[in-house]
Formats: sequence, C-alpha cells, structure tokens
Amino acid sequence: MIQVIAAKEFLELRRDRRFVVAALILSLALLVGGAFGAANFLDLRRQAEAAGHNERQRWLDQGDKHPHGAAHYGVFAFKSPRPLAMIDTGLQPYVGSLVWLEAHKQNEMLYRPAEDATALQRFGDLTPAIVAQTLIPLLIVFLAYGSFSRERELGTLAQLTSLGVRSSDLLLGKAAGAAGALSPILLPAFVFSLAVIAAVTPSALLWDELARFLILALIYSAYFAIFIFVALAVSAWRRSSAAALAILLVFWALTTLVAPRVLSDWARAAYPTDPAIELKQALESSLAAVEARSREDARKDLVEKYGVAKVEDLPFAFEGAALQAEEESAYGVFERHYAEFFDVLRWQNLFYQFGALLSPLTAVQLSSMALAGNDLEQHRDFVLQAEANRRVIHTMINDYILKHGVRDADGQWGASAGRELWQEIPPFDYRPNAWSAALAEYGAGLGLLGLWLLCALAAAFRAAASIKAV
Amino acid sequence: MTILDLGALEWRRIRRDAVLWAALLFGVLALGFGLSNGLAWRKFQERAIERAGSIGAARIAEAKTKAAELNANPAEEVDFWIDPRSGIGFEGAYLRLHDCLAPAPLAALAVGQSDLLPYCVRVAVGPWPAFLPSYEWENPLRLLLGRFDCAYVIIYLLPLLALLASFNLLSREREQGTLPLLLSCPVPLRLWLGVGSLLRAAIILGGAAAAVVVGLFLAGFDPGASGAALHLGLWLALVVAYGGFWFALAFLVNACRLRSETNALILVSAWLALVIIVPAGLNLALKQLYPAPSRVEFLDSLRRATAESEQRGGALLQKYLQDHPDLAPGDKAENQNGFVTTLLAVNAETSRLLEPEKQRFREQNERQLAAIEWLRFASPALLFQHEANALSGNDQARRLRYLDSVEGHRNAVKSFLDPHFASDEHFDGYDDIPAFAYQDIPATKLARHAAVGLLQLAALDIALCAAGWVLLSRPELD
Repeated sequence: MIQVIAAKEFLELRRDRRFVVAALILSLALLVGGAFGAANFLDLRRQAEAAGHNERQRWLDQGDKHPHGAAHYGVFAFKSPRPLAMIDTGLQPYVGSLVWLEAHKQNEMLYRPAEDATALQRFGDLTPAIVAQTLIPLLIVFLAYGSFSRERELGTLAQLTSLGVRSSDLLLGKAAGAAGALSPILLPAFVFSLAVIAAVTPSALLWDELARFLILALIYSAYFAIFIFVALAVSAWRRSSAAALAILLVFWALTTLVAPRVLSDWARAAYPTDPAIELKQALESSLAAVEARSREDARKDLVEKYGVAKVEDLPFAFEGAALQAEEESAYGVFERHYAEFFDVLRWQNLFYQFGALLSPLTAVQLSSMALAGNDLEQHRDFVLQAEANRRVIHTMINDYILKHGVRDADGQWGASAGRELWQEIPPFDYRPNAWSAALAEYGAGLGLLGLWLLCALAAAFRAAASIKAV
Repeated sequence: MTILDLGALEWRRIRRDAVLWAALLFGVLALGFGLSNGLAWRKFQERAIERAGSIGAARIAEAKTKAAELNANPAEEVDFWIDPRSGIGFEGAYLRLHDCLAPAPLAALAVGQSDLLPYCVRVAVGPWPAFLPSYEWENPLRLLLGRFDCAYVIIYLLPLLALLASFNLLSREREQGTLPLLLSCPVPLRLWLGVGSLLRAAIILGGAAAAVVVGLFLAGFDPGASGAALHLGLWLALVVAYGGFWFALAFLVNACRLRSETNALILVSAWLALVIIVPAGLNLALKQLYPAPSRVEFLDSLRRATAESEQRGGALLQKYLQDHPDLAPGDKAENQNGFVTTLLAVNAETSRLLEPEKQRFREQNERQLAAIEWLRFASPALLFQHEANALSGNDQARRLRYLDSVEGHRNAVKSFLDPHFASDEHFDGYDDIPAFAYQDIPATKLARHAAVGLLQLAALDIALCAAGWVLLSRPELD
C-alpha cells in the first residue's frame, strides 16, 4: 500500500508543472554551484601547490647568509583545500589559507578571500551546501504542504480512509512520494559529486574523503527527512492548504533565516571577545616581559654553567642560545593568549551547536563544514601544525648558530649557513584529521539533529493518526 | 461608500486580524534586536578606536621618557633598533599609531562590510603590504553567517511579513464566501483592495520605521551630526519604498484573482528569486567576470619581489643582517647606517616591483564596484542593501576611501621618518608626526546617490500598483 501511495504522490508531483519548474531551477543551482565550486577548488589547490613549491625553492635558493636572517625571511605555509570544499566552502573565505612562519612570532592566517569580495557576498554563495541547507527544505515545503490538506479539500481523503488504509501507511507513502520527487534532483547530484570527488582526491586521502562524503549525504538526508515529516504533520493537522503553507513557510523562515543569525549573536553576547587591538597589545606586553627576561636568564645560566666571566668567553655563540631561549619563552605566551581567544570562539560555537534545539540547520551547517575540512577546529589544527613546523625550523637554525658560530679576529661571533642547512630543514607537510576526529566536536549537534528527526516522525505519525477526513 | 467609510470598515476588520498584529509584533521585536546588535557592534568599534588612540599616545609618551633617560645618561648603551632617538628605533619599537575610521551616525542600522574590513590600521612604513593583519579578530563562523541587524530584518524578513499580511486579501474573501457581501456595500473591488493593502502597509511599514526611529533616539542618536538627519530620512524612505514593493507585488498578485495557496506560492517564489537567487547568482557571476586577484599568487609575487630586491641590495645586505645587524662583525655605527640605507633601498625596490600588483587589486576592486552600481537595479533587495550600507557608512566604497586615506597617511609618515632613518642626529620629532584625517564625501552627494535608488524603488511600486489597478478593473464574476 505504501508503494502505491508513494507512486501516486510521485505521479501527481511529476504532473505538476510548478514542481517541475522548481526542480529544474534547483537542479540548475546545484549544477552551477557545484561546477563553480569544483573550478574554485581546483584553482585554489593548484595555487597552493604552486606557491608552496615556489616558496620551498626560494628557501633553498636564498644563498649563504646569517641563519637568523633566514629565520626572519621565514617561510609561508599554504593550506590546500579538501575536495569536499567543492560542496561546502565553510569558513575558508573568512580565515584565509596561508600563514607566515617567521622568527619570534606565531602568526595568524593572512588574506581572507572574503575581504576581496563585494557586499554581494553577504547574500551568500550559491554553493551546493547553501542550496541543500536553505532551498531544498523550501522545495520540500512546497511539495508536501498540501499532502493531506488538499486531499481533504478535494474530498479524496474520505475515500482513502473509507478503503481502510492505515494512517501510518498513508503517511509513509506520502513521505516516500515526496522523497521520490526529490530523487531526480538529489540522486544525479550525489552520483556526480561522488565521481568527481573520487577523481580529484589524492589516493592517500581517498577513503577518508569518501567516508566524509557518505556521512555528509546521511546528514543531509536526515535534514531533508525532518522537513518532509514536519510538512506532513502540519498538512495533516491543518484543515486548509493555505494555512498549512503559511505555517510551514514561517517554520522554514524561522529555522533557516532567523535562527542562525540570532543564535550567533546570542553566542557573541554570552561569550564576548575583546577588540583585536587589546588582544594584540596584551600579547605584545606579555612577550616583551618574557623575552627580555629569557635572554638575561640564559646569560646567567650559561655563564654559571661554563664558569666564565662573560658570554663572549663561552666556547660557542651565545646568540644561538639566547635566540632559542627567547623563542621558547614566547611559546607559552602565544599558546596562552591564542588559547584564551580561541576558547571563547569554541564556547560561541558550542552555544551555536546547541542552537540545534531551535533549528536543525545549525547542526547541519557545523557538521557539513567540518566534513568539508573548513570548520574552526580544522583551521586551528592547520595553524597549530604550522606552528609546530615553525618551532622545528627555528630550533634547528638557532642550534646551527650555536654550534657553527665562528669567532673573528676581533673576538666577535658570526655565523653563515647555506643550502646544506636550508635543505635539512623539513618542508611543511599538513596532515589533515580523519573524518572521525573532524566530527568529534559536533556530537551534541548531531544528537540533536537525530532528536529533531524522531520528534518530526512522532509529530507526523500522531497528526496522521488523528486526521479527520472531513 | 466614501473612502473614509471604507477605511473605517477596513480598520474594524484589521483590528481583528491576528496574523497582521503578530507580524507587526514580530517585525518590531526583530528590528529592536537587530538595532541592539548594531549598537553593540558600534560600541565595540568605538571602544577599539579609543583604545587604539590611547595605545598610540602612551607609546609616544614612553618614547619621550626613554629618550630623556638616554640623553641624561649618555653612558647607557641601547641597541639602535629600540632606541627612540633613532628614526628606525622609534618606528619599530614605539610607533603604535592607528588610523581609525569612526562609525557613521547610522552605523548601527546596517553592519554591512564593517565586520569584515579593517576599521583601525596600524601605521607602518614598510613596503605594501606589511604583514600586519589589521582586521578585527572575529569568530569566522559569525562572519560567514552575518549579523542580525536592522538591514537584515528589512531585506529578508520584512518582505515575508508583508506577504504574510497581504497574500490572501482578496482570495480569502472569495474562499470564505464573503466577497459578494463586501462588494454589495457597494464598493468598487479595486478601491476596497487598494485601501485594505494601503492600511496594512501603513501599519507594518509605519511600525517598522517607528521602531527604528524610537530605538535610535533611545540609543542617543544625534540628528545634529553632519548629514545624520538627512540620511536617516532617506534610510526610512528606503524602508518604506522597499517594503512598499512587496505590498505592491502582493496587490498585483491578489488582482490576478487566484487561490490563496497559489498567491502564496507565487509571492514566496518571487521573494526567493529576488532576495536569494538573483543576488547569489549575481555574486557568482561577478566573481567570474571580475575575479579578485588571487592572494596566494599575490603572495608568491611578493616573495619573489622581496627575494629579488634583497639580492640587488648588494654587498651590504650580504654583510649585514636584516633585523639584527648587531650580530654582524665590524664597526657598529657603520653597520647601522649601511643596514638602514640598504633596508630603505630594498623596501623602495620591493614597493616598485609590487606596484603593478597593487594596481591590479585596485582596478579590479573598482571594476567590481562599478558593476554593482548597475547590478543593484536587478533586485530591490540589492538596491536596498547597497543604499542602506552606504547611508550607514558601512559600504565597501567608504572602506576603500578610508584605505586610500590610510595609504596617504602612511606615505606622509614615511616621508617624515625616512630622513631620520639614516641620520646621525637624534630624532625628537615625536609631536610632529603627521596626523591622520579621513574626510567623508559630502552628505548631500551620498544622499543624491541614495535618492536614485529610492526613485527606482518608488517607480517599481507605482508600476506594480498600476498593473494591479488595471487588472482589477475587470468586474468580479464569481
């Protein structure tokens, strides 16, 4: 019976020209968004790879110089996007994709692409993720608002119930019909995306990327199912199609337009950050305090340890030890200041995640950008891995100054390094998290998404069970 | 029945229209929340600007104190790159001036691009661009989602409230069977629908405008500030014209005499097209037509330019270190001068090599802005956003003018400090550093620009109403 009802619903929808037009528009939006997403991904990946290669070459070709000069020249680390960024660019336009690894400083990422975009960007990018998060739920509302109410208005609901059709069969049949109507839009998009992702993902990441893609598909399926069952519940509950449509449009607007921004602003009010200028000033003050002390502490320690009167009498270049002491003293300061700031952002995001109590979209947004490798946690992971590489670079350089410093005729220490040292220093190689680690932060949101699905199912079954045919 | 009688009749019906009052309440609450968010952001910026000013002044005071200490005690040795009496030492260790852009009087109404683009830039005299990110440290998730400000409420939610309040004015009467009774009053159909739509529009749009005005004045809005009253008047007129567009569209769709359900579908589809799909599609198209130059490729060029100019820096740069010339052997004073001269030469050469890149960014920015000047007419939502951001002082054009001023100031400070970099004489011009001054464009010029958008919206409103009026001239047959 469910199959029969589903087939009838599907046939009706297929004959509805409004649905066909809407489905074509959405398919086009998915296709255009996906095509531009793919082109953008390939371009960004090519740029990151080329710039990374050129940067390494410049590092190797910088010639002979004082190693600390090379430390200041530094290197840039470039983040290459994951293939799923074709579907969801997430935070990438707002965090940038490169970081400068220079002496003395742990830098934040530079050049956020959104800064070069126009105000039109604030209307949103037409990515497949945006289409799936906001437009397909609206299509579902259009598809399903009249499922029961229109049958009632036409008088066919009484006929159906007089045949002894169980309300649960009726509900599941209509749900299957609506889902079936979406399949001509979603199935080709799914298959096409799967093929493209499989084709462009490097073999080392392939299984992880495919796992991410399949989980992403599951999450979006659950999200669409919520809208289908909520729409059917309201359609069964209200007597008039117009009223059902109005209620569902309000629900859609509240969950997709109002809730995300309101929750984000509440999160900011609950967990405020200070202006960047104050944060930077506090960081600079802390650094100045520890760096001055660290040099003096290193001087005292070494003079005492080697039993000499002054650092110039040490059997090695004191500058190497002093620079390393400065670097190490700054590690804790950077960690503390950045951690304090990012902890506040984490609390904001956790607040936003629990906003899934009000709107399932928040859970979908966060897990979608996480699976695409473009969430705050993976941004931090990249920055921290880059910082680990920076520390290796500068430890090796300072160690070189210390061990290879030479004294000139005036007794002054100097040092010069060349390609041999530059080659020894390892290039930055970002190791992205596996999908399980990427999703680990979003368990609560996904749990709430599951709860929404259960509640939507319960509401739909209850509304269908208590439906009145006239 | 006179128009006044008709108005009185409609008012009695409106008083019992729960959906309309719920929509009004929701709209006013949303605008109140949006305004509070905008005000909080404005206060945050003012706090940062004040802090920037105090940091800059405090560091200059520290430089003066340290210089006095050093002058009083000539035996004290200090490295030149932290010596406030050397140009380079003062610039590197003490110059912490910031060029800040104060929020405009209506800044709280539309956050616009202000959360994304810099509003306080540190003065640095190195080659463009110094790697000093000057943007606000903000949660990128919030940047992605955007703020719930008044402009957002007006652009996205006000149309939905307008449609909710008016999508079935005529169809509901017909579906309930009360239309013949109503028309038997007697009253012409189009006059009745026109008065009903106008009253509902007046309530929703009047409520929205009143909420904005009351909220602003409660928050201490100063109408006497330059251009503030004029800009607020235009902002409100845009709200009315933009909201009026949606009421006019609903009037036209009602005039087509379709079912309520069909009206709703048509109107929501129009909203979807004009507020979501067209702007997002144009954004995509603009990115393809005038793509911003790649920052990654730009950085690649910058590094290449730096490497090239450093190599051309010659023997001095090979001999002396970039940041720590004290590490190099030999006479310190000679090293310092050589280092500074080379640094200036390298910076100048790097700037010269980067000039074409800089031009490329600027030209593309200008092309994008010029394209938007035309594209804004493609959707009322775009038009409203463009004008609302401009009147609120948070549009991209104002940011670009501000960044031009920042660059002008940077050049002035550089011209002022450069002679002191390689000079043997002590630097003591702490009070003579050129000051930053940003000059906004005249309020009337901005108002004229907004008036064009306003006229366009008003013309659309009139055209839609006229079309509906013509359609309603047919007699009601059923």
